[in-house]
Amino acid sequence: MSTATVVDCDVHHNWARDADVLAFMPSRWRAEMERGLGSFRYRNPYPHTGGVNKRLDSFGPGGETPGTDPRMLAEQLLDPFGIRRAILSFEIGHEASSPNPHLAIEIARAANDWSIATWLESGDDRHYGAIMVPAHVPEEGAKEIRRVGGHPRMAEVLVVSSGVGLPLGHPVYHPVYDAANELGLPVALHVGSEWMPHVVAAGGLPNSRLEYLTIAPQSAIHHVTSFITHGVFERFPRVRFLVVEAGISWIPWLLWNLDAAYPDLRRESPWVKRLPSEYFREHVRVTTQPMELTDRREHLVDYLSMVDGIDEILCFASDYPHWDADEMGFIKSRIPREWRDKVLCDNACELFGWDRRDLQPAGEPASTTSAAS
Amino acid sequence: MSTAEPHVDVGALEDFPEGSLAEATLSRRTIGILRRNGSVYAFASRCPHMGGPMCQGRLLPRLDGPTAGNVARRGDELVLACPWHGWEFDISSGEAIANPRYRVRTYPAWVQDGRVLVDPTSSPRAATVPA
Repeated sequence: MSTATVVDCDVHHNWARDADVLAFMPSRWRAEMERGLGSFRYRNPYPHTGGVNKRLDSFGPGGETPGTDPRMLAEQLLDPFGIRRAILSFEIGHEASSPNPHLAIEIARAANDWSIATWLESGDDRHYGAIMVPAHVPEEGAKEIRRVGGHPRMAEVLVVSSGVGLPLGHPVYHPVYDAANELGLPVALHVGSEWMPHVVAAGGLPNSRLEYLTIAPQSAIHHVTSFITHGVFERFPRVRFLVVEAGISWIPWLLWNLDAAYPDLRRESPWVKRLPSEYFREHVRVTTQPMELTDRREHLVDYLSMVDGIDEILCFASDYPHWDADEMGFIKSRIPREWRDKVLCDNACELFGWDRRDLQPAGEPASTTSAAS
Repeated sequence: MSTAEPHVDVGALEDFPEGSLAEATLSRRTIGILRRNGSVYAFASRCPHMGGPMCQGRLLPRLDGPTAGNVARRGDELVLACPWHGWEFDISSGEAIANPRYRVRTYPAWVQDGRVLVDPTSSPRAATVPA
């Protein structure tokens, strides 16, 4: 077992059978779901090279769905890489992106209760949760945050993208951020959680997974921008925004563009009182996966380093057990050694309000993240 | 200020209407003169962003955003907005409202014996966008 201390900001846990989570749903909705009225997950039309969106070695011995077995999660991810806390974020949260808002909130409530009962209170103190929130019913989403947000293992709010077709900074969603601000919980957005994939693409429906995957960060970029332009961080100063699975190479581009446009257009949005990049550095964090593979490591590092404090913005995420997960060795080989402690542990601890010392199991000597094998 | 200070006479006060921008010449450079509420302000006619002609800019109420979605005027303060990209500048200090690191060059100006006088020597060089 690794002696490192790592936080993984994006791990996907799952239910083995729909009945497992339906058990937490009110009978009216449970009955309709059992009769096939609604579906937990849409079928993404873009094929995966392995035929499924999972690592082919992450299925259980009997073919069990990846992410459903805590023991396999520990064996394949937590133990070998020293992951002391893993943020469990369902199948990216799009379970709650159903266009039917009434069903969406029931799914979210049931999923959150299932997660608490099955994983967060399972006895493995490395499991931390995300509150699934359907952003397109913001008032109900806010209630849900307040309902379960006080659980000691709930680490963040997981909003689902483009709930009503508006960027997530729009005032219609502000009840969600009000609740998050009240509880001091970061708000996470996982790219790809839209019910329909076309909303990520500014140019229209992607025609292949290559196309879809490459341009998927577009929606996250827009949402981050809208948080700033709508003054979300002014109105809700405790809110931090975690962008998950959008890669990282867009960060300098976005900050340059925002800061260049701001002096021209401040008059349009005078509630944006500081340079946009200042809000970003203070309130936004970005997970490392999928880390862009450049011909040379220096290409990405030198480019990112043009952003002051980039080593404090990035938070490690594996995306296990998805097919495009980043492996720990790859990440460590691509970032400077002096970034490791921050990217692999400290930045996440700061974001979630954890003391790094509490991540160390009792009886084990303190270690640095860099000490991991 | 007095005529003992270095100065250039840029014109009669009546040549600069109250509340409007007017051009003047200072040591062969075009400057802008703003007369307002008993004071006169002098500034270089060159935006630090990309060199836009500030004398052709607009005087606008200074706006604050006290809360998201709400806009309020800051008293009767005005800003000078560049005619090219709209960058706004404090008329007194010349600082860009959005980023005080950038400034339109300003010059001390005053009225004496009905004449507008400008000191061409004492204003710090304005920060501009690096080439």
